[in-house]
Amino acid sequence: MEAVDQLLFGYRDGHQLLAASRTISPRQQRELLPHVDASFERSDARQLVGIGVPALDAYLLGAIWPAPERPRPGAVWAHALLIGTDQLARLPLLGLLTLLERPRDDHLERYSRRLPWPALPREGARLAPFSRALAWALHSTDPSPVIVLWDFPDVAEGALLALLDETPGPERMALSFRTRESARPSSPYRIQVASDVSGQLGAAREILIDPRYSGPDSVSATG
Amino acid sequence: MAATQVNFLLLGEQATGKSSLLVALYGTLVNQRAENLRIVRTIDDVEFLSRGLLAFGRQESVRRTEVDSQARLIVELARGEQRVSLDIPDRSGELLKHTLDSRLWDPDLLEQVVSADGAMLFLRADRLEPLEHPQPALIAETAGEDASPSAAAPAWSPALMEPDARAVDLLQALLAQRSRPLPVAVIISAWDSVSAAALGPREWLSQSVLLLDQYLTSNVARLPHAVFGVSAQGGDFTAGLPANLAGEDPWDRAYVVAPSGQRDTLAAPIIWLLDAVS
Repeated sequence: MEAVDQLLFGYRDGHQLLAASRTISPRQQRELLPHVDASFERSDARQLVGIGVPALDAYLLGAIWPAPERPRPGAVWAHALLIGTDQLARLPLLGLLTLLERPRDDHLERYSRRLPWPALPREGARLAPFSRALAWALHSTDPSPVIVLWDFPDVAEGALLALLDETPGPERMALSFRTRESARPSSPYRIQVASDVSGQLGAAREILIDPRYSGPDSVSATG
Repeated sequence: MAATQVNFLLLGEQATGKSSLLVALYGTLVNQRAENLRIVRTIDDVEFLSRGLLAFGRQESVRRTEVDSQARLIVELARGEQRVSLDIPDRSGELLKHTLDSRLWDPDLLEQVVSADGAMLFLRADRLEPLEHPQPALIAETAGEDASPSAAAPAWSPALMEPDARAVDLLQALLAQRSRPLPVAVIISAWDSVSAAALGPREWLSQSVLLLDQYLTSNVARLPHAVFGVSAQGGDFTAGLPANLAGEDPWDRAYVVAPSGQRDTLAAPIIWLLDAVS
């Protein structure tokens, strides 16, 4: 049966790997860490991240949540799936969102086992102006990083996975994304989805798309 | 007169008080509690510092710094006729922890280590107080019992090093990357928790963190240093502040104990570093 590896990061004397279904070396862990850590303004928020990790020969798909129940302010949980390059190229990915689960207590043993590959959900992602913006961003010949402004992360998550599914298998590894409360300049992700932007854009010549407004100025380039 | 650019580096693992010191320092400067050192202007976003001051006001600790945070304190300071543009990046302690554990510099951290004019090395006092009871393995060995490692014992890794050994390991790795001296203000954070505070920071370091103290002494030419006790919060929020402190503003609760043993403002380590690099 097809299965996928999983990792759980959380705060225990530092933000670190707490459980895993495969061995991760300290160097690999250090490489993963920026993608499984976050700061949140809202305690009910969540971020979704997807990025190829050549050192692990895998694609990381993860979700990050605030962990206000932990003793250190600003602590977070991150549950990540490590999708093998072969799996990434040939399997439908949208159902993987259903596997991402925030820990509810200190019993973390279930994060140490590989997870069965899920079936596709009955309904695909809702096509919306947001999805069209994403498609434009991906298929543009301009390799600049893209920031898509969108206020509904739940729609964004499904659409991002649907977009990954629509991308030809060999090219999926290069498609990285992250949802955030505020997009950042000079991000390592090809696509950021956020409701606003923090900091000064321009150094990385980001393309800013605001599909919430459908007028002719909804796409702008910085720099 | 043009301001002199100075870059200081914060070196400390997670929860050692780096962000707390920056927040309290910012409060001290903005509210003019640092005697002849005053803030002329802030150059970058200081939202995380303002948010930290609000948290201190509510008697809450500041939030941990995420691994890819780009937060930094960039301010222009005036000290008499001198103008200094001070840049202190606030990097996550996990970045340093994983650098030590993986034996591989984080590229950004390495760049800062090479270019820094001075550094603050953070140790947390309540993690370094002498143990009341020795470790069980030592007891077994002394008693002549079988002290061989059990099958379940984890293999040694850098992650198992004690804090003083990790600090020395860090400084050794740092000196290997630099040809010029690095002035270091050693910050003993959570100083309010030190049971032997009457000793003063320098003496406390020589008794509680012996290896680091010896290493610093042996390398004083390359690592000129001074030791400060710092209480950025002014006390332990989880235990509750005493009534006489609870009503004070965060920048008035925070304090430093200088190497001389005298109480000083939060700017004292910065002033020492500015003198050391000038």
